[in-house]
Amino acid sequence: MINKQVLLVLLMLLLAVSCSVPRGLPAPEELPYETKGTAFYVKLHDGSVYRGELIAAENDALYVLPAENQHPNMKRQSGVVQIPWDAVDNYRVYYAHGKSLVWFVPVYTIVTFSHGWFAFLTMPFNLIATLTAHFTSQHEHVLRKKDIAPEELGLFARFPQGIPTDVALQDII
Amino acid sequence: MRQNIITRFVLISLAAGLLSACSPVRDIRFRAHYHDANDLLYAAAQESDLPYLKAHLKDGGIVLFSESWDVDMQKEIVTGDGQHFDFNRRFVRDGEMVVSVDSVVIFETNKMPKNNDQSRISSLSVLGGLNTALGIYCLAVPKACFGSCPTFYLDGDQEFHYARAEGFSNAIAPGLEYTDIDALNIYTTTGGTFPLTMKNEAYETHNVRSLKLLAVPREEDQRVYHTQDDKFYLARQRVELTSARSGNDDVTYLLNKDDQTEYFSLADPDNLRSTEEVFLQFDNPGNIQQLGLVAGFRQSLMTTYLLYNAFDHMGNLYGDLLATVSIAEDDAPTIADVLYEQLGGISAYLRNSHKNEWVYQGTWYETGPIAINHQLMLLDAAHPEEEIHIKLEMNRGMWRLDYLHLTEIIEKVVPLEIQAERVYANKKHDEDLLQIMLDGDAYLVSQPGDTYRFEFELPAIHDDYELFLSATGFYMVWGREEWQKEKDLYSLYMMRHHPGRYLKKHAQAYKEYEKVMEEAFWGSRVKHQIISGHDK
Repeated sequence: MINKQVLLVLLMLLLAVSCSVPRGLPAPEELPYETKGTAFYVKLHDGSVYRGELIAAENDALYVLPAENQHPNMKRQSGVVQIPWDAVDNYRVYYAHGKSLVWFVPVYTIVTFSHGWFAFLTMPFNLIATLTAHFTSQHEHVLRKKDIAPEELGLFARFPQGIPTDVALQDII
Repeated sequence: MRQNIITRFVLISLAAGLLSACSPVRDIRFRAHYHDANDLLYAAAQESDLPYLKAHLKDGGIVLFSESWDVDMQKEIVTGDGQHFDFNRRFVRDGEMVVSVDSVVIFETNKMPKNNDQSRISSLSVLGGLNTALGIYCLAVPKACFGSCPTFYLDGDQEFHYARAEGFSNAIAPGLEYTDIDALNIYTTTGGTFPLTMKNEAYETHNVRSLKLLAVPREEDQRVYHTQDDKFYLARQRVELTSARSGNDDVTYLLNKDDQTEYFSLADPDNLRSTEEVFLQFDNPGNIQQLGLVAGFRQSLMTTYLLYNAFDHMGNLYGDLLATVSIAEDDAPTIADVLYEQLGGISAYLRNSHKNEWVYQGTWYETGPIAINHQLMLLDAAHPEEEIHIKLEMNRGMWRLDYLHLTEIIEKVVPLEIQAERVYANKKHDEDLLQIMLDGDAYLVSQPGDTYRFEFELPAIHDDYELFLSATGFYMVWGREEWQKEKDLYSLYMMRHHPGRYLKKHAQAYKEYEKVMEEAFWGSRVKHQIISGHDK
């Protein structure tokens, strides 16, 4: 029974780890020099999902510049997608990449082979601990809907003031 | 008990510390926006270091200032070295920047975001330290971590905590080969094929000459038990324990059920040879011709520790000395014999209330800390008319008791001997191995990690059998490089010829071992309670 529970926890952790953060995020120390909006994930009530750069978060809508080729079926009038707030179900902000601790996972797991009988206890404990540490480290700089209110999203947008009046959406790349 | 709580506290604290260290920091205050230059100046004045500054321009462009910048409120300008980018973040120019406050729609400051990386890595380092410590310990005392002797499992029970038997634990050299009989303690059998899995979970080479199932037919409510001298008795009726005491502790709840909730005491810190007593009381069993006492018990890791100490002391003579044991023609006692003499088994005494004395009934002794032994002792208490009082005497920290009860002996019986019909090596049927097992003179040689499955056919003539396993053979513990450095023949001599002094001298070292290994090893699965006068 305990083994099944441990396996379930491990499976969940592996699934969680597989929900990786986007590539190409800046390091935390590069944030003061970032000029673009952060990587953004938004899921709509109709189930569709957009991933890309957060361009602006205004009172009535979000503006996202989807990453190229990520959504081949998406219809785009211009580069930027305008998403009304009432269509938004969930969102996440990825503002920097975390430290990778993935090497702890195989190393600590292999070490438990030296524990003999105790490995049945120490191996799952080490797997859970290292996978948890790696997962949380990778998601250190991720903000979920509950972590950041819609009115705070501007902090991470390319245009925190909203879309500039003189800039046309189709000109934004 | 206190030690148990402390250990759990440490483990829970470690887990809690690790989890809390793992929690990400969800704090967005490293970044701030100001619509007014005065607010920016006020905020900057609160900081010891000037924050990084970005000026978001009305046209969508942005100016990144380097670490030094200044706001001149009289001229309403922001100055400093920086870089200018347009609304698509294409580079425009860099160098000395003079930006009118009016052209800025938002000032953005950034500090380094907080994170938990350091505490996360610290926690993993602590875990790494514990892993290494346990690894080193297991290398130093491998028998404590890597098992011992062939272990036998029923289908579905694959963890060593559920091993049903461990074969010929004392046979550490060819010359010490013997047949070991263990009760498999199965409440009902369904007939037909009976599978048994044998594993080598140690750094040892196991040499199995014979493996037989001993089966005795039984009716409903009957059990068959074997005694220390391997005689078999059919029994019925179970007289439950009504009271068990160790010192001032009531340990009845630990000993009244066959449930692996074990009674166990810690060793004496001053002398490993130290006796303890457990007092048992049973209700009047009524008119019974022959009464028997049945117990479930196994050893702690004490003998394992001492045996490995002996190997350590042998150093590079390990192989030679074991070979000597095998070819010796005299009856000189082995170290295992010496340890038995010193530490003894579980001796039972029956209270004679008329003479007001304890009368010796017998002693149980089985080497091995893994599988629980289930054995019978005949009591000299015909037609008891009163409550039965029994005293157990045993070495402190040496034995684990699971249960005790009385039973009525019906008759002495002779079991059927059943040979394996099929043998599987790593799930593959192997006819050659079967022939080896049936040969009687050949050995099945099992190396670390090997798993064999034996299938026996129970005779259809009876519905239900009590089953025992009879295993004949010997094993050889693999020598280790560390032993080359640790030769200590004087200690070996002391262990063999002055064991009393040796056991006194090594008590403290064993206590250190016991503190870590006993609690961690058994606490991981089996419920038990440690009773020790030194830890109350």
